[in-house]
Amino acid sequence: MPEIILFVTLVSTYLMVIAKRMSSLILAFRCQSFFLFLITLIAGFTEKHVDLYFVAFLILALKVFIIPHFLYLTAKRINLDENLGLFVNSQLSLITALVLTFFSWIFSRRIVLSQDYALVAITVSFSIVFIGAFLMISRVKALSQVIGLLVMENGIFLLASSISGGMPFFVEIAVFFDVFVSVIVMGLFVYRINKLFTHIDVSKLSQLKG
Amino acid sequence: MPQTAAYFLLGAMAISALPPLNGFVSEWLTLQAFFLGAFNTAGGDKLFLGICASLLALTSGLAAACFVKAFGLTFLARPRSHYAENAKEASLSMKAGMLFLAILTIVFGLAASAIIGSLAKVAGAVTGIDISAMKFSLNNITINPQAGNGTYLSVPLLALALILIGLIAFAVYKLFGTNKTRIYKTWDCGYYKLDARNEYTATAFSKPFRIAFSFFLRPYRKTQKTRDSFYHVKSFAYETHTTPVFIKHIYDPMLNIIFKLAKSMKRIQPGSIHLYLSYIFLTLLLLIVLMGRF
Amino acid sequence: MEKMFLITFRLILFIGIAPLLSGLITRMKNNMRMRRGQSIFQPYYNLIKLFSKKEVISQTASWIFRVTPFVVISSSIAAAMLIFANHIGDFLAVIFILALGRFFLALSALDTGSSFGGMGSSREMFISSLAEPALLLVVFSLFLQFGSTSISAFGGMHAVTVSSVVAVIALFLVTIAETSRVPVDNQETHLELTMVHEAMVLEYSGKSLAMIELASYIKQMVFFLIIAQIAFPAAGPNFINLMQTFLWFIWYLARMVIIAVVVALVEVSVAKMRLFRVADFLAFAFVLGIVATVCAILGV
Repeated sequence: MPEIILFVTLVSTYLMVIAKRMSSLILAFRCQSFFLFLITLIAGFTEKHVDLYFVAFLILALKVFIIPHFLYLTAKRINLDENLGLFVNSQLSLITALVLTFFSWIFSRRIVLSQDYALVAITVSFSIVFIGAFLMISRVKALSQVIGLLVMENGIFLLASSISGGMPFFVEIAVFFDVFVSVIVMGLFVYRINKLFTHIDVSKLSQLKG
Repeated sequence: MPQTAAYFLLGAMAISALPPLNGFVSEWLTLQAFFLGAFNTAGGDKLFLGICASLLALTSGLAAACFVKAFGLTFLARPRSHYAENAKEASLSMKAGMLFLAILTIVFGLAASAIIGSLAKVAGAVTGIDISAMKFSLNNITINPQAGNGTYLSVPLLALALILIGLIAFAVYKLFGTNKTRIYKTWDCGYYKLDARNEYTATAFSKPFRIAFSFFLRPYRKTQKTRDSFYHVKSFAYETHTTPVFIKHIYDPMLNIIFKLAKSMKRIQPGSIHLYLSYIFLTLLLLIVLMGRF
Repeated sequence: MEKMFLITFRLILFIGIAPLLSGLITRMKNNMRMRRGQSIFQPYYNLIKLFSKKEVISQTASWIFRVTPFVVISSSIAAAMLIFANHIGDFLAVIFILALGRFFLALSALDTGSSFGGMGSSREMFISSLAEPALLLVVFSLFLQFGSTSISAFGGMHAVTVSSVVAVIALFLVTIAETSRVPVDNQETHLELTMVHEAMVLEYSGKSLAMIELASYIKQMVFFLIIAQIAFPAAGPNFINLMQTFLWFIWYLARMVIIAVVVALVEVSVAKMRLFRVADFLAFAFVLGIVATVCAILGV
């Protein structure tokens, strides 16, 4: 049962990769966070850690409802053009995501020798991390970098909660808080960037050179 | 600036290795080290040590010349510029610093045989040689660099002798002969308007050195004449320079190479944030891939 | 205590003979030029005369001008004392003490603000800085031969080797430079193109000039005595045996006279060199020092 949900999480990540519009990207992110919530619930059920229930509902609240809503608001406030600028077109992005999944599978084979749940979990979480980084690199608009960071955080959290019983409780709370605050800050930044430059096209912000 | 001049004079004397100050003791000990080291080396190295010692003497002679020039042309005779004419004595804090250092030169010179023991301990620790059995001073006033070798140096006795003889000379000066002195102009060869521009300057003082070492210093001059007509030169500007050999042939080429290297490395920094992010990502991937290998 | 008395006695003897040596050299030079020349005691008469003259001091001179004669004479006499008192210093200390006198003399020359003084001090520092390496190589070759830089090492009886002969020649050339004799400097002239030491003491008069002259005689005698000790070795005076002391004294004077004759011959036969050729002259002394060192290394 948990493997299927892991698989669906990976599929939702692929959905993010092929998204061509901002709203579909955010929608795919919500799906991914929802399945993450389910996994954490199951993990809490099997590991019998009370903390994991709390963390799971925190994920539901923050990553499925609050943060995507905040991102929608920011996008609307800056009158964002729906077109999500792609450096790498969606077909090639999908192939790259598959290659990254393959890399993470090889890597997890090196770590875990038996064919069981841990193998699948490590593969999926590392591929989510890599795909999140890939999103940051290959998408033009600044908001997509925020979403890429959130996806990476999702992947790391998935690794922690599916293999061990989650990270120590305080660490998870702290990480959540950090993510929340950084999303708010980045949202503000995106708004200010748009106010100054009237676009959030990061490829045009190239002053930081030698 | 009488006090500044006095402290500067002490410092200049110490650098030029004049007894009884600390520079003299240092120079003497270094030369003794060169000489005594020649006992432990084979033939060619002995000659090398001797030439090193003579080059050290050359530098101390050149340093003395430099400080005669520096002190003499700055503080002595008529002021050579209106800044020098209107100079005021320095503030107390500046004088205190100079006084402290001047006193140190005297103290280190006179108390050398007492200090040399502690300094030798430091040297022994650095070079790893056991010096607990060696004694570098005979009693508290004499330095004996190698026991058994008949070489001694006693700076306090030397200073005492200098002062005593100076006092005796002063007594003879005062007691014998006439005591009348007359203050008059400097000998000017009959030229009646001798002023500060007739005095020696630093460029003039160092001219013999520029000529003797011209193979290294490569002096050159630039002249410019402003003429009224062909026969009448209104003004003549003369500049003389020495080629900065080290800057021109060592430091500038090195700096140019470093700058060229840095400019060529600018190409990995085009300004695109996505590129920078991909650098991070690729490094991460590389680390993960190679993690198992090491 | 007794040692101190002996040292003082020898020192006074030294100071007493120093002007006589200079007078002797001048008389011999004049005789070689087919002139009658002045009496050999003329330097003494000059010093006494200078003591009775009034001093004229320049308006621009500071305390350095007045202090310098005392510093110069005390440095010369201390250098002479170091030859006898070996527990206070060695040959290197002699060199540096003479440098003290030269430093102050050069400063006092700049003090009066005349161009002669500046020129003299510039040339003097130039010549002395080039003479130091040669002098130090001579000291090094003596060190290799005798085992220590102390003057007592070659003060007594010792063998005369090739190394010490070459060292004596190099030391002789350096002495000519340090004591301002032809071909480096002319003591009898006051033409600005040709004077070095005289240019520095141009502004001095009266008793100060007497002290500086006496100091230069003593410095010359110090160098000559060292050359004599190396070239013509003799055991030191044993003041208990009067006959031996008397013979030692005669041999002491005889060595000085021999060196004085050689100096006078050199002064008469060679013309004064251009200043920038003095560098070559001292380079030749340096090369001779290297030869002396090599001979000492080879044990010859």
